[in-house]
Amino acid sequence: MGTKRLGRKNNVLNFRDHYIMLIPGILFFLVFCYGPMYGLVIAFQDFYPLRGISGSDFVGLKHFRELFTNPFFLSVLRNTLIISFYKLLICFPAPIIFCLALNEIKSHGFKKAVQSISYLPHFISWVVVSGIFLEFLSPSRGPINILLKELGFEPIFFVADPKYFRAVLVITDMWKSVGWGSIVYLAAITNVDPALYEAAEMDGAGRIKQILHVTLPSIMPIITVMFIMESGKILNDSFQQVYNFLTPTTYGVGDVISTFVYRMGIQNMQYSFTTAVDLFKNTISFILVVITNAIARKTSDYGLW
Amino acid sequence: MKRWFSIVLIALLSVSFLFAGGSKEQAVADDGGAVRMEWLVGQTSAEVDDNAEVVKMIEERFNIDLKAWYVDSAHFWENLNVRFAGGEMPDVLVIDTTSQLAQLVDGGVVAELPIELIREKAPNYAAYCDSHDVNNDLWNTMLYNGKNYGVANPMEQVPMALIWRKDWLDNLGLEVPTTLEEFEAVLTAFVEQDPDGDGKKDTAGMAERTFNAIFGAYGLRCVTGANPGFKVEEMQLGSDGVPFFPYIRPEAKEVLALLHDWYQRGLIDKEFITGENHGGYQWLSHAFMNGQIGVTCAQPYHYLAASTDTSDSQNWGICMQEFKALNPDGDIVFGPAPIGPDGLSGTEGWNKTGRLTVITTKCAQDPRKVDAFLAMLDAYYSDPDYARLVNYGIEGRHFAATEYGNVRIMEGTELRKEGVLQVDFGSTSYFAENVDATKTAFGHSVTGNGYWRYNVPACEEYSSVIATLDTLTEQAYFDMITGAKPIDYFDTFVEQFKAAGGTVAEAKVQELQAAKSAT
Repeated sequence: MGTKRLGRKNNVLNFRDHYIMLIPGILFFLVFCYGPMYGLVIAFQDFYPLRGISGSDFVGLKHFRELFTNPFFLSVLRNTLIISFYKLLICFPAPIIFCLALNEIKSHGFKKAVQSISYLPHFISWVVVSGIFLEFLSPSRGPINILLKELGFEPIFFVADPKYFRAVLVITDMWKSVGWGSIVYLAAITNVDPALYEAAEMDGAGRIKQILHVTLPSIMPIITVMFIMESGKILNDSFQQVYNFLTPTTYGVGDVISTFVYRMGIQNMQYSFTTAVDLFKNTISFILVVITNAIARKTSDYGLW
Repeated sequence: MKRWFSIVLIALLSVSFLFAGGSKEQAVADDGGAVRMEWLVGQTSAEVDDNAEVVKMIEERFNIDLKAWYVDSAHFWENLNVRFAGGEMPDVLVIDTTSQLAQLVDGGVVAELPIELIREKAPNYAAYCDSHDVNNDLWNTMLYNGKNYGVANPMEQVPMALIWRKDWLDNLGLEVPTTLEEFEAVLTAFVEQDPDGDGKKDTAGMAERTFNAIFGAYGLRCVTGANPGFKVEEMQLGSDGVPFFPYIRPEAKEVLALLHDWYQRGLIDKEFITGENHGGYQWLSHAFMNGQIGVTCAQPYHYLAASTDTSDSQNWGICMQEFKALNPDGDIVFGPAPIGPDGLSGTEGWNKTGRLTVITTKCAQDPRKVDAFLAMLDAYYSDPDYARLVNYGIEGRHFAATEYGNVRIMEGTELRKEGVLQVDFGSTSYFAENVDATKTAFGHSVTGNGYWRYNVPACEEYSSVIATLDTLTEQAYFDMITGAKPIDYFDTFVEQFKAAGGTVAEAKVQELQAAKSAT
């Protein structure tokens, strides 16, 4: 034990320059990330900005009670989980598949063009995207419904129909994010040793086999890390997206935590209530990340920590 | 060498910090005896130039040093609250609703302004209010826990107008309808008789912006142009002076049954759910401009400025300009709100009591500031030239006096930079009578009865449940109109509404209203 302590001490001494260089980084996190967490106490107060944290009264769990007893809370929580689950199921693998396909394109010019075009939707705000899709899916003016009518079907009001609403959210999200999301995987693929492909080819592996046995295993660590991070976002729904598509006919299937809080909070400046909701959301997110990370470590060797 | 260099740098840095602090001190100090007044008129589009001519004229008149606050409107209250939290506040502030008052008073932002003081220092304002107190609530709107905070203004309001496709009516040989039955007949003709003459059955009658006229035919107030599409007003002041939730009245069930029937028959555009407006200027109705529906609702001035003459493009409002750009041969005509089975009719109108202007605790510390504020208020109610200056600006530069009344000739953002619309009290009745008489007369000539907005007194029972009640109602109403739920679901909805806090909130608001009316 004595030698071990000595060892660590020597270690610190030996690398003291490195440790000194760490100090600004640690300070940054203390001041800007951990310090402000003190502000979380307003979730347990009736907070008035001018009185400040020290001057506002403590009300215990009042705001959490308000949240959990609201008649819409359960349905809102369920919608958030279901929509996020669908997105995780479909929107998470989409950029991986897209990037694998892109990687197989031999024509350099065409590949670049496809890549650039696929990034574009990322830069369009949700207000505009929702406007585009509302027109595109309109029962009277949208091309899809015109086609349906030509084929003899009844037009479908996709955006206002509870049956299709979640699908609209998932598909628009995929349309917007697939290109941008593939960047990180493309970067990972460029790091794969070409010798591995040559060896695989020598062994008689075709294109598909090469993808399955060379490319995918090589980018598995980054996929795992992305998945762990993504699982932390399950309760952090996309407010901009849902808010712009939501109508009262789809509240039952599409109202999520952020749109719900927006409607509840806008009436008054309910800082404490919204902080309470955020605290609740982030606690769950934290637990999810820890669990996913543990599973990832158990089943593979990769993980965040 | 290096060490010397760093010492010099540190010295420079400290000196610059000193100066930074010093200049701030100076900014707060008095400017040659003139008291500094900081105004925040609400959510505006640009920062005001302190040296603008209009600002200088106002400063000279009241011997003040005027500083107009600008707070980014995208996150207005968030940004403002950060400044409050940092101890910064303007002297005068305009709030959106009386329900904010409780929070701001309890939070130490808004200060008391006794009615006796207003009567003493702003006698013209007080006299005007006494004679124009439409709902008999001007003097008690700003009461909270028995004290008065700030001033409410008697506002000139024009209710929503019904705008019809005149070319469609002409094509079918129809007149503008006056009763609800005629209204339904015209809508039916719009659906079945191909009003646009393109040989296709692709037109509907109306969409959500006209719902307010149908609710109005049954005596209920309904908001137009909200997001989502429409919204029944939260609370309405009955003719007996007792406020109530129109949401759960039996008449609402009749309206919903009618709307559902119209929806089934295609009289209501199926796409009303996503709204008539598809982006851009809020009051544009794309469904109306694109020939999907034959009637919509908006303020008269959105379509025509000062007369019913649609041939003169000078007279076109912003929506009319867009409409004409898409339909050069199209034409419009204003129509009355349809009369319901019991002889009631009307459309939505905004607050008769509005522009809720308060003074802050910072202002209240200096009696000279309070005096200056009340002097500025009084001038707006006694001097039309001053009112025109702060609202329209300088003739020839900011507005032109035409046969259609005063027309702004500078774009809104520029206007703000020049200090116009910074210390005004809005379209008060006084302003409408003395400055904007032509426009006011025209607006009323094409509209009828208005259902005015009711200022709900601030109370926890109401503010903590209203968002839930709104959501319940929106969901139930849309479901019943589209047929996702039968009309008899209304009774279940009413039970849910009451149980979710509706009964308690209504009782509390009625109690507070009764107490206010008694003072």
